[in-house]
Amino acid sequence: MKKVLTQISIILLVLSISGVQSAEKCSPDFEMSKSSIVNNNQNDSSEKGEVFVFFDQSTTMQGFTIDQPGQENLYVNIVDDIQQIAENIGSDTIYQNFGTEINPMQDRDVAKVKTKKFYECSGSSVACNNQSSTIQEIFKIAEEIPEATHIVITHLSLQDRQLVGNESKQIRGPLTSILKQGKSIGIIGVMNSFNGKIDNIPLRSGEYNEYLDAESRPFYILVIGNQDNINRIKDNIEENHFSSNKENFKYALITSSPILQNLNENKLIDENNMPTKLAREENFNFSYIEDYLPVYKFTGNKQTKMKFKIKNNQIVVPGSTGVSKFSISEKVWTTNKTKCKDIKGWNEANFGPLSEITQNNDELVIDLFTEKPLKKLFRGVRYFYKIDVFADKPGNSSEKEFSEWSVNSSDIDKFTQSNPVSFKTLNLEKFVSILNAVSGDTFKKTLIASFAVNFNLTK
Amino acid sequence: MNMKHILRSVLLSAIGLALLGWVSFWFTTLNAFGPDGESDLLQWYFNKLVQKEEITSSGMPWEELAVSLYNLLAQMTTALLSTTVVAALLWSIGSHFLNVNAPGKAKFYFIYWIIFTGIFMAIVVGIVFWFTKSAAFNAADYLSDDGVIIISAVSFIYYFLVYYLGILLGTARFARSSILFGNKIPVSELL
Repeated sequence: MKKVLTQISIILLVLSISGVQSAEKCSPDFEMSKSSIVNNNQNDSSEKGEVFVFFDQSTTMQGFTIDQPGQENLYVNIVDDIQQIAENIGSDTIYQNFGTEINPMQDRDVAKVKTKKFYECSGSSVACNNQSSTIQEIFKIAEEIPEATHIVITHLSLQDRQLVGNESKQIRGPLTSILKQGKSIGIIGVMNSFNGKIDNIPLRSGEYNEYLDAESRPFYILVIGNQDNINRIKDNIEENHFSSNKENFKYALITSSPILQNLNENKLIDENNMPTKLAREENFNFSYIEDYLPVYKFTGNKQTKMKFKIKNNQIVVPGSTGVSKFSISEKVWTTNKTKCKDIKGWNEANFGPLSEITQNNDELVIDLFTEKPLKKLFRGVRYFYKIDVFADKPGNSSEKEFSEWSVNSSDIDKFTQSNPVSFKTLNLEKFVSILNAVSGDTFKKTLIASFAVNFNLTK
Repeated sequence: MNMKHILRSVLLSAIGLALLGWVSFWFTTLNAFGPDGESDLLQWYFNKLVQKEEITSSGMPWEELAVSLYNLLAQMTTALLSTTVVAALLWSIGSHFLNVNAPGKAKFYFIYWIIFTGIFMAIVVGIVFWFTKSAAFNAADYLSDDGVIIISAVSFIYYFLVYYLGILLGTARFARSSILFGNKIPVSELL
């Protein structure tokens, strides 16, 4: 009797071990899609790089240094702030001025930047008239010294010729190279009091005009470098001068990838990305496969609603061009065994598109099973539906951001004749659109999130 | 009331039912055993009854999915055949209780037969609907619209014929005029 009992126990033990070893196939075998996001936020080296600060020395900049009654003058304070930040973020700060050419500045000249005298033209009257800033030269320097941070303070009025043909190439070429190296360009715009002469206003006749009645006009701080430094400068200016009212402050970030992060790598997807109702479905369970792919498992019915939502601020770099087009890649596997322990294998389905993706101001919404509703799927079948969400095309939100302060060369004559108190920047929108176009060229389709739903469909 | 006549009606009705009803019995048995490899029936179901494209795109082998459809059809034909048998026997037995006390009065009960038959056919339709269109069986999802029409039409015609043969032979001799073409049956010792 004892012998029989021992034999039974051995058999039971063997059976229980084999039962444990036969792993459940609750999900199909597939290759995890991984993201190729380059983190633009991090400095490659732990060392602080050099900081180049370029001051636009064209005579029209004088107007920012002279107070205008009734208007707030932030130029002097902001220039002061920039000098301080530049000293803090860089191991070495190099000051240069630029107009028709770029020249290094002596330390004693740096303090003069806040004064009218700094902008007085010392050349001949011919040279002093019709100046145009050689901003393209600064981009070349930034391309040559990509590890440094480059800060440019300028009125940013660009002539048509600077934005077409060969001169345009001189901007696009270095920009492409800068963005490809993972660097970004921040444009900070400040509407400031202005008391001076705005020259170089192109007329339809081909001649140039000047305007003296402007009481305010924007100036710009371009920052070329890594996003950390750009954000630091932007945050500093914003907090010090525009914490209560941002009406006179604008910001855009041009980057090779406006994507902040891949949500899977940082495990930022949770139950709340789906409607709360889903968590109340029978047998609901949320877990990560291989510490990477979040899976919503449940028993659903043909009325189950699945809307996966991602907040824009989780995926889009703040202030960047944003993303104008998202896409999804879908894969479905099926099995007619509804219990995981019975599943021997999964079959790859070919349903075609099942869901659609839309974006509003706050969030990205993936409406599951809109193209092919659940009521068209078979009951009594377990479905494993994996979705990869991609950013396809960068947006142009920065163009819109600055369009209010921009005037085209074709309209500037008419605009000047309207005697504006607040003057706009010539060709600003075109300049930003060039930056956007370059960033669009360097943009690569990026995986921002992956998730799956594993459900058994009932009545 | 002669019990011998009722039993003879039941027997005759059973014979009438069996004349065509065996096909249903055979079909039910076939379905109850489930799909058999690449049988013609399995292929016919795939070609005629189900949503071919949806099944193909689901990636699941038809043979695996067909198990539940076979089960559905086996249960449905069992329900239909049972209903038919019960209806035919009910009428056959009930016909002996019709008050036919004058010549030609049996024809008066034709309206009864029509109503009874109408109820039977409504039950047939209800059974087919319950199996093919309601959420009772998952396999109903596989059926195409054409498949449902084929199943409905065949069931409607076939089970009516089974029922009709059952009552044609099983109805009491004196009440035969109450059913369609009942008076055409020759009167003999056997019938």
